[in-house]
Amino acid sequence: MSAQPKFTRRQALKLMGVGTFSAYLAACAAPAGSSDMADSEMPAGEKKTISISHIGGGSVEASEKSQRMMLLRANFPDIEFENRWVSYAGYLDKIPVQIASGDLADLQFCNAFNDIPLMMENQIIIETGPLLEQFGKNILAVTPEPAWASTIYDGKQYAVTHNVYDLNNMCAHYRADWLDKLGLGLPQTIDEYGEVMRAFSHGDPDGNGQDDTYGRLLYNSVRFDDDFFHAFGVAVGHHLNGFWRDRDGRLELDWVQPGMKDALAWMSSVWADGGFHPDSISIPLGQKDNAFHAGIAGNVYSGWPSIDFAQNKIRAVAPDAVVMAGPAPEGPGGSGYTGEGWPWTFVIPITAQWPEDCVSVIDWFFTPDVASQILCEGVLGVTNKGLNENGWCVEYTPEEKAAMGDEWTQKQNEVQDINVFWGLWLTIGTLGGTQPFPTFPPDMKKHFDDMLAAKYSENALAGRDISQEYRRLTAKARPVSSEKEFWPTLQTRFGEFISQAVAGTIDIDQGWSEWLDFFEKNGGPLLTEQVNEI
Amino acid sequence: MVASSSFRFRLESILIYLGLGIFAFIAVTPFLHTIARSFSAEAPILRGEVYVWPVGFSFDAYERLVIGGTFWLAYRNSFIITTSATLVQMFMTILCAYPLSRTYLPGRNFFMTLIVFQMIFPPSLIPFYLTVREVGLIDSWGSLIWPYAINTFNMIVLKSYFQALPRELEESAIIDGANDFRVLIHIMLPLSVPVLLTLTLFYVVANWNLFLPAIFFINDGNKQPLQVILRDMIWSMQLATQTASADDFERLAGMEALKASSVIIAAIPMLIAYPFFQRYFIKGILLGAIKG
Repeated sequence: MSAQPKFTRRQALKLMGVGTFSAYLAACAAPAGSSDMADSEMPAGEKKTISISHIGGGSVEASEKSQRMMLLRANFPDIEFENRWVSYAGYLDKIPVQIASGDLADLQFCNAFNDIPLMMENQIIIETGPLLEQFGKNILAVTPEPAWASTIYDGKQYAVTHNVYDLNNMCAHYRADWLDKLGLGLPQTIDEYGEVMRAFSHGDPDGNGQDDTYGRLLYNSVRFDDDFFHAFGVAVGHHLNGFWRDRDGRLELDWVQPGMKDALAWMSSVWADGGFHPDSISIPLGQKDNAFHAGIAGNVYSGWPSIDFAQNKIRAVAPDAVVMAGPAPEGPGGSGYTGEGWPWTFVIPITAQWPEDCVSVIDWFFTPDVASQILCEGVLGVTNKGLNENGWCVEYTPEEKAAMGDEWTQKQNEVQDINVFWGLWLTIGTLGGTQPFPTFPPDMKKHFDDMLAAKYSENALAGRDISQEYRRLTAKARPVSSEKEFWPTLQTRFGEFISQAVAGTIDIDQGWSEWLDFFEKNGGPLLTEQVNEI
Repeated sequence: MVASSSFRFRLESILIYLGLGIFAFIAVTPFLHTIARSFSAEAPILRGEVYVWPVGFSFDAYERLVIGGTFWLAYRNSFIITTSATLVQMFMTILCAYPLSRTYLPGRNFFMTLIVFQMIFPPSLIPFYLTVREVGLIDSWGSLIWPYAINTFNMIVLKSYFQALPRELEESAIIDGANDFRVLIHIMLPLSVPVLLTLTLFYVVANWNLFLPAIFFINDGNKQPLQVILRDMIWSMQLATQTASADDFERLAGMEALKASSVIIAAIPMLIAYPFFQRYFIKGILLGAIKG
């Protein structure tokens, strides 16, 4: 008989229960000791590592094959670039976690309006002004002054750059063929704008004998329809980020000005007359152009570079469609298109080991020699012509693409991953969204200006000029401390109010009084006070 | 009398089938609509002309979706994540549920309290993220598997199922010399096939549809699961249409069909899996729910 004690059933069960729980708790709850790798010095002979977070798209493999990534690696052989990808679709979910945990990449792509204030509050990013002076001369030479406004706090600069430097590309697009057919011209005033909306809805501009067309499909929360609002001297501000103007020497929020009520009443009357698509306000994010592209709406407020694209798309159902941009309609409060700027920036966290190199890397993209190689759309030598004898990239013209027929489609398919996923990160954007740099030598600038002229129709380029002419920027470029507590509530309440007001589901007079009351009681005065202090 | 009864029976049957048919149609229509959109040309979709039958039949959206390596890479990633995670989850769930289903386990109530507490008060996101980071799981598929190794609800369902099985079976096995491992493997698990398959289905579906954990924990684009890649693809193209130039027309045409085809392709594995699990599904849930 063995003297060894017997392993009982109960002991086994205990072991299983405790073991399972230990494993479970270890995986889910118990934090291990923190790594000290970040603080260590780089061993001699090893490369520096710079991590880059971007929202450039899903295929790292394809990005590695892009011209800009190959150039980058070749030009910085002593740096190992670690690619931290964030899905554009998931950015809004991930960035708060990154900020709260301090887990930022050395070059962190972020939204200047929303994220820099939080990063400042958590004290996780460094001031970049002095670094830019020393290592970012090309960036500074290219970026216009107003673009920096949202990144400056107490006189200090907290971002390396904005990725694209056009401060506005939005303007009103019209179906010019519908206007012709209805005997109308491009509307110059807000009253004419209303007439055009109603005529598009009820005048059978597509000539099919059915009442199936509309003036415009409004964006959800009516927040991307500022061309109407500016005519009344106010604006919602795209993304509901507010719009402030100097009124008698004091900055005031447009949302509480009498002009806002007038603008909503005007839109409500157009809505009541059937001038807007009935799916307006309820449509999901990013689908505001769908009705226009489908040939069932005659007007949209969108980026000028998409004018030719929209026209081509509409011609699938209306072969004679012509799209053109129009001026911002004049009203009792003036006129304008909201310039939202380009809020995307790179910031550098306090944990970055090589901040100087971070700035140098981005600055390198802005040097004329490099920018002239990567500014073109398409993949080098596949969906664009590659580099010319001067080393500047060359795009195919629309005519050359059309002449290629199936071969062009084949080329696009060949590099679809890179195309669809934008490449690694479009630091300087591509021609059209980005204009030729002012720092380009004259012959280089002419090369890209000519290419731009060949790339877009006259109507589209006219749209570019219009979007610049009517650009209006908010007078308050940066957040104030009380926003964190009050602004989200005000945004939500205001978004609800204007949607209901336009759709006519509330009495505007009563809704307006309630909104003003809500603003007064939910931090509005403090917010205004702080905005005027900065 | 018989004829009247037969007529009434037939009338009732017709009404029942009619009612069920209407409900089935309501349930299936959105799916048919999505399939129809995925095979339709862009213009009819945008004009609202597509209902349950494609208009301007085309495979373009599917071709566009599967061209290039990223889509297939993501599909492979999702398959690996789903398979690995489900195996781990089932293993851990069984190992946790069985001891807790035995009344003689010392501290059983204490452990159950801990589990229920965790279920009622789950960890908030930031501490959860920090924990995953500190155990070195960031940017690995382990971050999508180990922190989710047990779903508390599923574990309680399985525990209840084990408890509902006749004690006599276990006791007779013990009399025959079986230890707890043998009882679990040779008695309890074979008798629990319906609930095990049902829980497997729960886990498979959850793992296949995994989105936010991948957004939080995975930085490498090559490791992302299908749902993240599909959504990113659609968003990127949607955004591109706002600033697209004329030559992008070809590339960005068919967005709506592309969205619909991505939904269909993402759903295919689940559509294949469901029929195999279906006959166990109701039985498994009901049996597990009888006793708490």
